[in-house]
Amino acid sequence: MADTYQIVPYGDAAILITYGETFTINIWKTVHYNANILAKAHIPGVIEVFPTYTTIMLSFDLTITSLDKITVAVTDALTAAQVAKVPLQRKKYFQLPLVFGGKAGLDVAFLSAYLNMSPQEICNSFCNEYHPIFTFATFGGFLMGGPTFEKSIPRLASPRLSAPAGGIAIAGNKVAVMPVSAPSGWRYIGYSPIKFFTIDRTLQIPYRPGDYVKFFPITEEESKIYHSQLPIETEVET
Amino acid sequence: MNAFFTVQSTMLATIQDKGRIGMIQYGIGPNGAADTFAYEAGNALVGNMRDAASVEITAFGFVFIANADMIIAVTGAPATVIIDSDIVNMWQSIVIKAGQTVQVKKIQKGLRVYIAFRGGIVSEPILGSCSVDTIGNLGSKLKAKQKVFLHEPGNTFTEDKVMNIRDIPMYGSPWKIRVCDGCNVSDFITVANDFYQQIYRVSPQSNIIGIRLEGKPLNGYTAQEVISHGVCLGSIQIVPTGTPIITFKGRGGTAGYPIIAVVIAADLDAVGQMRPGDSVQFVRYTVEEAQQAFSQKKNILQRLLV
Repeated sequence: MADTYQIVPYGDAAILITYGETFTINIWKTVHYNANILAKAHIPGVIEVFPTYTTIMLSFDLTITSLDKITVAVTDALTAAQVAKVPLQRKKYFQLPLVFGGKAGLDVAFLSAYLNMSPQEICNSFCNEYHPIFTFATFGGFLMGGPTFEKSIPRLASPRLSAPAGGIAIAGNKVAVMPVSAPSGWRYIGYSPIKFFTIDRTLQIPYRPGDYVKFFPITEEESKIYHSQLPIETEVET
Repeated sequence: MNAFFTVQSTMLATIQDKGRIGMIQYGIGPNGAADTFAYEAGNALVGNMRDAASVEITAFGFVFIANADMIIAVTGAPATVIIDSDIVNMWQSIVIKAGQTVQVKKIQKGLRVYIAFRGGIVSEPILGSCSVDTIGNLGSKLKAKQKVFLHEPGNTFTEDKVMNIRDIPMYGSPWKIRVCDGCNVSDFITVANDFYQQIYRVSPQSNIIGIRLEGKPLNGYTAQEVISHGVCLGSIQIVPTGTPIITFKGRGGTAGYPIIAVVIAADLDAVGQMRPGDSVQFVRYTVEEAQQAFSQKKNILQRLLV
């Protein structure tokens, strides 16, 4: 049952609330729903609540609480949530311009050989439908669903020390979108030139897990139009 | 005009506070002062709020000239502190007169030294903190000739404060780092002894994002990769080469390698002081023991405030 969880020890100042080791859409939805519940419960001493695929990492401040108190408070909040069963969050749809190949397409040649597909065919696979955002990743980036190829895409044996900012990459059957330059073992197919989010006193990220993203191909010349634009929200008929 | 100091000479010094707390779910790590205890003790010694912005000096020397009278405290790894030509002690409040030169050099046994300034440093917070984030490119190193302004202190402060020598942490290799079980501990049952008996060495490829350790690879454990999960501060991941990486304050959020153990909250400060080439051994603690160790540290800081 998707709601069955375990509270697993994670040092002395955090817990991992785990709904299993196997990813399913239902478990993922439960994870994000319950993370929202926990964040809104304002349990004293909670510092971080981080949902991903099948788990929620929750850390707490030992100057004001303890593992025992947190375990009780989390269990109470999740039990109350199971009873309440409020419908899940919003769904927004975004389109992101993708410059496929070029200077950020570091692994296009590899993928073309590995999948026995032309670069154009690979690009089309990336751009033909909306995929859900599963979780935030490094610095406002995210991991999302991706095209289903014949074979699962292997990571690099040794991660690159630095991969291009705005990069779009694939590993397994998931796609990573990375607003910043960072070390990565994923396979890069290109980049998006947009301004992903606004950052000053506060963080304003337009998208979140549960929203959907679709890529549309643009050229390097066209990329200049998009530099100061945020992700384009679209109306989608469902 | 507010008091300020002018940086004379610097290699790797930054302005830090406690960091961007509670943003890991967006992939934004806290960063902030690497040795939190030394940073907070410094602020307490000069009568500041515990999260006032301070200077963090890493590895190399730092020299500044005070342009006004000010009160400072120098904490962290043992270093030589000289005011004009007099050597002074660390871990105490010090009165500096306008025009005096302050040098911090020869940092030993640990990696970082903190200078707290009464009133705290004026800084432009981004997402609530002035701390440097190397992944998101926030904040920057101090530069020679830079002027750094201080806030007016918000309270009166009449006493000299000196840290009790018993409360000053022991810095230096070999580091004995206490840990509690991590979320994938059951995958490592057959190699747990190897992990706890080994003396690891800190790799030069270490920084605030992660401390890489070199040593005999663990083998025979059951999970090479796990489904990505949120990483808590101090998590020790075992990467495919069989060696550990301690995830630290600059961490970006998720990890796909199994986590054998987590550094206890009370020992995170030591992680922030490890030098390349230092020896590290892990010691397994229960959660109760770990929380007691944390309480002891918390009490030391509370005593400084009264």
